[in-house]
Parts: sequence; structure tokens; C-alpha cells
Amino acid sequence: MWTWFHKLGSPPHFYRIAGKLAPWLGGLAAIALVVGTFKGLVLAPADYQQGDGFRIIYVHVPSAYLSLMAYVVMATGAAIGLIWRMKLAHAVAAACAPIGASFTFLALATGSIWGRPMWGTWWEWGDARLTSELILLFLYLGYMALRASIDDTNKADRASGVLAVVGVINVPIIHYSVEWWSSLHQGATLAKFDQPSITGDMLTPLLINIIGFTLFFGAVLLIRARGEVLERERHSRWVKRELLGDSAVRENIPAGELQQ
Amino acid sequence: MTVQSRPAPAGLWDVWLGIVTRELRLAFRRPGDMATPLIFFAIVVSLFPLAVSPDKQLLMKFGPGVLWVAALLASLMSLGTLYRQDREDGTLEQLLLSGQPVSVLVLGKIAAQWLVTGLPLVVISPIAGVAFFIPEESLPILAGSLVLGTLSLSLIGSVGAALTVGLRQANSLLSLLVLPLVMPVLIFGARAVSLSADGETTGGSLYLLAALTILTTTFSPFAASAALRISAD
Amino acid sequence: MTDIAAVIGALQVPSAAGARPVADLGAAHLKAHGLTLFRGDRCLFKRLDLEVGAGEALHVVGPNGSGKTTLLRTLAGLTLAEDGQVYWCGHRIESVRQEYAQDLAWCGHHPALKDDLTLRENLSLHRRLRFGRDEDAVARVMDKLKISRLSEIHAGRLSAGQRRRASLANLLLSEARLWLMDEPLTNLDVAGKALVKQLISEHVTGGGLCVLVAHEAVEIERVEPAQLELGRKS
Repeated sequence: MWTWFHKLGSPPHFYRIAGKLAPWLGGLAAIALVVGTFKGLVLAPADYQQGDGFRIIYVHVPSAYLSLMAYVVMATGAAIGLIWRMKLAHAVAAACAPIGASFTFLALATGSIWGRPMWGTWWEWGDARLTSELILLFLYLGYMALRASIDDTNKADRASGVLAVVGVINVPIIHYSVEWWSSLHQGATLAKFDQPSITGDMLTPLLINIIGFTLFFGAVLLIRARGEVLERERHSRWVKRELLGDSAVRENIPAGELQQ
Repeated sequence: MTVQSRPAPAGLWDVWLGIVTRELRLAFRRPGDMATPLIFFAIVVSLFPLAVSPDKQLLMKFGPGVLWVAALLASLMSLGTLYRQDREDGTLEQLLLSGQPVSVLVLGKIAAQWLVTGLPLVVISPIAGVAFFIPEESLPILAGSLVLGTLSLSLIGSVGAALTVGLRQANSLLSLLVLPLVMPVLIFGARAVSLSADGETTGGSLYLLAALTILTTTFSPFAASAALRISAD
Repeated sequence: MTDIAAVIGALQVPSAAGARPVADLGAAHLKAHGLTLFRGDRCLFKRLDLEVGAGEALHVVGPNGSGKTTLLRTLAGLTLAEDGQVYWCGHRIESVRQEYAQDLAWCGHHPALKDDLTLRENLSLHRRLRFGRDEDAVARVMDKLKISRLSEIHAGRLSAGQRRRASLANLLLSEARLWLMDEPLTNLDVAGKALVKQLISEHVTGGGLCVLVAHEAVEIERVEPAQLELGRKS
């Protein structure tokens, strides 16, 4: 088991394994998403209260769920990188951030669209989930901004790693404090639409979509992580061999030429 | 030369006091720098009635929140410079190589920063509170909640300051990193003051605020010392 | 109430209170093995080995930008090397961080003085952080380095040479076995340079270790420093 873990920590191995795994994940994701979306958009019955408008939860809920999961994966990668000094873990964390930020943005956008018929406005601060998603977006942006302002990759990895770990401890605190805050200010006018009594026919497509989104996340993460690994290791022999073939290594083409 | 011929290493209290004393001395020799965050607080507080409305009812409603936000922003101003000077004059390296636990040194710096910026903010907050028509009975709650809040902010902010020391646009980046993390503190703190102004019990909010302060006191020094080592690389 | 009294009492008791036992790691010995470090894309050194024993000095030479300061920082534990290990008294420095720092005195580019504090306040704090309050030791060291008359001047108003001497004072006050010195002779006049060489000589012949970075060759009395040259194209 440890040898497998160690092998996975070696960049060339990860590169190859991820390369083989990503298409499978992508394929399964596509199947799951098609099935889930079809069942959700077409087959599931309309909600008695919200009509067809509720169907956006099939995108909103998985995005929100993934936005949190991506942060946890990012923080875990950062923690592994910091504790065991595994460069690859840092690469995975770096790859996670933009994906997580995108999911967060998607959750915010779909949440806003969902709320529009309900609230009459495009935004409702009193909605706890939406507001804490917004704060999560700020956390992602802060992480990416910190990374961007440190030139040395090693240092950027470690600094943003500390930030990610501090952030992940804060995420539940932020979530619950925002929920507490919104529950204080909520009048009877605000429909708590994020907790409808959801049953069978409506639930199954949701679960399928969540699985589909997760597989999609996995596939995209592996692809981005491969890109990160290539960039970080661009001077090593295995990268040259991988990209240009064995002849390039023999002729000792300098790394600068790899930038085409 | 042997190790045994050396005196014993300093006790941790001594180390902490030494740092606090030095930082306070440095701060008092630049009284202008000490006043800046307080003046900033006063200006930000004044912006709101000007920008929104001087209507008494409205100010009473928004007062606690405005005061809290202004206090946070003013504290952030002084946090930005927490390690900057140390990095520039080489003292940061000496701190990391002093042979003492860096978390104790960090706690010393945080304590001094709070005494220089946080505490004065707490002291002048009732004056600003009066300007926002916060009832007199609620002013102690305002000050009390700000004590806890500014402490939490100093602690979390020190982690941000350690991560951004020496970077371009360090101040903006610091705010970007720290403000989302202190939103829970803001929520509970401002809420406590609003509740008090409405005459309701504030116990719950204050306890939660205190819990957050304790949590940050436990984790921040270690996070900040890890961040300092990384930044000094 | 008794708790508060005890705390206040502890605050006033002189530095010996709560003093921790001296950690003795054994015979002084610095060793680095396989150090590899990149700065961005540039490789500064690869698989570098070095060894310094008690009573020995190492002189690191090389052109500008060859990584001398970075090497020194790596030995101090300030900078993390890509690969390789540094050992102090046989222990990896990451596992004995605090004890190593207690045994080490860093004399970097910057004199590590606070401009707004007087010379004496600066040195006193440096001493206090290591061994608790000891004004006598500070006075003795200032005497030895002939900077006693400057003790009440704010460090910001000292000349470059005086600041250098102050950083040497810090070095002496730390009573460390290993001295890591980065360009210690800059900004010093002839008398100052002679003083530095004398101090290093005393330190090394007394059983201490010294690794110093300098542009020019440094001749030290009674000490034959080994040389390590960086920046040679291999």
C-alpha cells in the first residue's frame, strides 16, 4: 500500500496514471450527467409550489456541493504537501483552486437564477447558503491571489498551503455563523426554498447529477494537475521524453525549446 | 567553548515580555503612526452618515455594524506593517533564529499590536457609539464585543500579515485574505451590540464571540509562525 | 485571587524563573550533504557537500549571484533546500530546530537593529531573548567592541561601520558555537576589519565553528580556513 502511495507521489507516474484515468472519469461523468439531467429536466414531476423553476437545483446543488468538496480536496492536498513535503500534493492543490472557484461561481449564478422568481430580485442577502457561497468565493480568490503574487513556486505552494488549511477550518465556522445570522433576519416572507420536501423521483436525478459532477470534477482535476506537473517539472528528463520523444533527450534539446 | 558554560535559555515569559516591551517602545517613539489607525476609524465612521443619511432611526439601526466594520478596517491598517519593518532591517531572521519558539514571539507581537491599535479603538468606540445614538447601556457591550473582536482580528490578521510580508500590494492582499476569515467575528460582534441596543439579551452572541477568540488564540500563533518561516525563505 | 498574584509574581521574578535546561547536542559539528537548490529556474548548487568541525572555519567564495548567501541561509535553516540535508552534531536540523538556533549566531547583510531603539536597548533585547536580562554582559561586550560611548544613541543614527560593530556585538552576546557570517567585513575600516578577524580567530581557536561568506580572501590569525568555491561551471 505504501509503495503505491509513494509511486503516486512520483510525478512521472502520476502523469501517466492520471492520463489513463481521466478519460474514464470523463466518460462516466458524461453518462451520469446525461442520465441525471434527462431524468431531472424531463422525467421528474413539477414541484407543486415552484412549478418547473425548481429544476435548476439539478445544477445548483451539485455545484454548491462540489465547491465545498473542491476546497476540502485543495486543503487536504496542501496539508499533505506541507507535512510530507510532497510536491505533487501541492500541484494538485494548485490545480483545484480555479475549478473550485468556478463551481462556486456557478452555484452563485444558478442560486441567483433560482431565487429570482421567488424573491423578485436577483440577489437575497438573507439567504444563508448563497451568502456563505459568496464568502467561499472570496476565500478561493484570496488563495489564487496569494499564489499569483509569489513568484517562487515552492514558496507559493507553501504559503497558499497554510492559507488553505486555515481557510478549511474556517469554512464550517463561516457557514454556521452566516446561517445563524440569516435565521435572525429572516421574516416569514422569505420562503425557505432550499429545503423543500424532496422525494423519490426528484431525489434520484439529483443524486445522479451529484455523482456526475463529482466524476467531472475528478476528470478535470486530473487533467489540470497533469498540466501543473508538466510546468513544474519542465526541466526534467522525463518531461522532455514524454513530450518530444526519446530522440530529443538523446540530442539534449534545452528546456527553452519545450515552450512551443 | 562548551554548551554547559552558557547561561540557561530565557524563560518564555521573559521572551514574551521582552518582545512586547520592545514593540511598545518602538510604537511610542512614533506617536504619529499610532494615531493613524484611530483617525482612519473616525473618518470611516463619519463617511456613513454622509453617504447614507443622518436620520436618527437609520443610524441607530446601522450604527453597530458601521462601528464594527470601521474598527476592523482600522485594525487591518496597522496589521499590514506588523512584520514589514522586521523584514527590512533583518530582525525577522533574528527572531526565527533566536532559539525560542516562534509562536511565543508571534504572540508577543500580536499583544503589542493589540495594545497599540486594538485597545485605543475599544476606548474611543463609545464616543463613536454616542454619535450613532447607541443607548448608553449598550456602550459597554460595544466596547466589550470590540475587545474580543479586535483580539480575534489581530490574531487572524497576524497570519495574513505573515503570509504577505514582502509581497507586492501586500496591504490589499492582506485585506483580501483576512476579511473573509473574520466575517463570523463581525457577525456575532455587531449582532451583540444590536441586540443590546434593542434591549434583548446578548449572552449568546458574546459567548460565541468569546469562543471564536479562544479558537483563534489557539491556532493563530502556530499558523503565523509557519507562515513566517515560509515568507522568510 | 491567588492565581493572579502568582502570575504577577512570575512577571517580576528575574529571568531565571522558568528557565529551561540547556540542551546539549554533543560535540559541535556541522555537515551538509547533497544540498541542491534552485532559485526560480536557475540551479545555484547541486549535490553540495561540506563539513566543519569544532575549531574549524570555512570560507565560501564565489562571484556575485553564485548563491553564497543562499547557501548560508540554507545552513541556518532559513531557506529550504530542494534536496539534501544539513546536520548539526549529527542531528538533522529540522528535528532540532530550537536547539540548533540556540547554538547558532547569524550575522547577515542587515545588522538587525531597530532604528528607533538605542544601541543598548537593541543589544539588551537580543541578549534577553536568548538568556534573559543581563545588562552586565551587554556592557562587557560593548566595551570589548569599543562601542560603549554609542550606547545611548538611536541605532538609526549610527554610521554603517558602527552598525556593523553592533551586529558583531549581537554575535558575541549569543554565545553560540557556530557563527554564520555573511560579508562581515563590509563597511568596516582597517581597524574594524582587524577586530573582526581577531574575534573570529578567538572564537575558532576557542573551539567554535565559523562559516563565512566573503568576496576576498580572509586571512585569520592562527586559523587556516577551508575554502568552498561556488559558481564554477561544472
